[in-house]
Amino acid sequence: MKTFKVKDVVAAAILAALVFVLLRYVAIPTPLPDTTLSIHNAIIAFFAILYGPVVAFVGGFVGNLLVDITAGWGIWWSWIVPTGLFGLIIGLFCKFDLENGQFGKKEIIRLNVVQVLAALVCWGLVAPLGDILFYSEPAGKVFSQGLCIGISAVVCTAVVTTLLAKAYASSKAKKGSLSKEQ
Amino acid sequence: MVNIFNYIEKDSIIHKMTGASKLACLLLWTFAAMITFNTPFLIFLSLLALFLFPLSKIKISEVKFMFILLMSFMVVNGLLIYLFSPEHGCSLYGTRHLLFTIIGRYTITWEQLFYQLNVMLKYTATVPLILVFISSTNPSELACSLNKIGFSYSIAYSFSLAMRYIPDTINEFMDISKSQQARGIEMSKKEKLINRIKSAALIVLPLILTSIERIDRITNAMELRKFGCGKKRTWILERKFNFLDYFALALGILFICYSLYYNISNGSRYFNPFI
Repeated sequence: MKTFKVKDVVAAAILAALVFVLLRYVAIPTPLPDTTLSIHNAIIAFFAILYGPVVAFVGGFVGNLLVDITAGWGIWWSWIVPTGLFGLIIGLFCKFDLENGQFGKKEIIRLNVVQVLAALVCWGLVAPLGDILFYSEPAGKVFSQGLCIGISAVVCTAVVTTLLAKAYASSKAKKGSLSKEQ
Repeated sequence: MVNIFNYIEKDSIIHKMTGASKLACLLLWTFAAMITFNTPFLIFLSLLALFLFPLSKIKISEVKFMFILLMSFMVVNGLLIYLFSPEHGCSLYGTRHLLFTIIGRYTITWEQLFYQLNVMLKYTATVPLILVFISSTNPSELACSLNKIGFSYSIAYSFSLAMRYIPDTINEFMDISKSQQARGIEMSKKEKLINRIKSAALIVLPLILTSIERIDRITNAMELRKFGCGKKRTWILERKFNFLDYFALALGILFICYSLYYNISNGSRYFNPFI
C-alpha cells in the first residue's frame, strides 16, 4: 500500500460513489426478464485505465459493498469481490497513456480482449464458485446468473468504456503533436 | 443530505456501543452464518438477531421497506433455486424422501424443503443484524471504526469520502439524466438495446468528466491540508470501548469459533436430520 497516494484515495472514493449510484438508480431494461444492464462495470474499467488497478479494485469493492449493506438482501461477498476484481484485472493489463491522447485501434482491441477474459474469470469462475462454496447454491442457477451478469458487463464495457476512453483521449493533446518552430 | 443509510438517532444501549465493535461483531457474525448449514444454530442466530430490534429501540415499521425487499429477494431466490435444481437437497443430504411430484422432474422432497429452509435461515440470521447496524451507527463513525479494526486509514477515509459524495453524485446524475432526456434521449424499452447502451454512455460521459474534475479538486484540498503525511490520524467521533463493546466482540468470536468447531467435529457443514 506504499503507492496509495492522496489522489488514489479520492479517486477510489468517487468511483465507489459512482458505482453506488449507477447500481442503485440506473437500470436499463433488457429483453431478458429481471435482468438489467448495469453500466457500473464500464465505469470501473474506465477508472482502471485512468487511475490503475488498486483504485479500481477498492472503488468497485466499496461501492458494491455499500449497495449490499443498504439494499436489504444481505452482504454477498461472492459477488462483491468480482466487481473489484474486474477492475483490478483490467487495470493490470491495460496501461494506456490516456492523458497524452493515446487510444487508437491497438488499445481498443487490447482493452476488449482483456475485459472479456476478466469477465470470464470474475463472473464465470469466482462468483459462482464462491456461491457454491459458501451458500451451497445449485451450480446451474449460479452459473446462469453469472452468465447473464458477465455478458451484460462485457457488452456495457465494450460500448461505454470504449466511447468514454476515446472521448477522453481525444480531448487531450497527443504527445509530440506540437513541434518547436525553427 | 439524502439519508441513504437510514441512520435513526435513538438512546439505546446498541447506539451507545462504538461502531468498531459493532462492525467487527457484524463481520464475525455474518461469516459464522455463511460457512455453516447448522440449522439449530442458524435458528438461534435468527432469533437473537430479531431480539436486537427491541434492544436497539428500532421499530420494525421504521425499516419496513428493507424488510419487504428482503422478503421479495428471498422468494425470488428460492424459486430460482427450485427451478434450476428441484432435487439439490437430495444430493446434499444423500437421502431422498419423496412427498409428491408436481410435474416431470419437479418433485417435492423433504430434503429440498429442508435445504431451502436453511437457505432462508441464512438470510434471516444476518439481514436483521445488518438493518440494526446501519440504523444504529452514525455513518461518520464508520470510517473511524474501519480504521480501528485494522484497515489503513487511507482506505477508511476513502470509505467515508464515498459516503459523503454519494448524495452529490445522485443529484448530479439526476440533473444530467433529465437534461439529456429533454434533448431527446430515449432510455425505455421502446428503444433498441444497443441504442439504449449508447444513450447511457451519453449520460455517463458528462458525469465522469465532472467526477474527474471533482477528484482533482478534492485531491488539491486534501494535499493542502497535508493528508497522508502522518502514520496515524485521529477521528472526531472516536470513542473508548466499554464493557458492552468487549461483550459484542467476544460474542462474535464465540460464534465463529463454534461454527468452525461444528463444521470440523461434524465432518460436514450440514446438519442432517435424515440419517
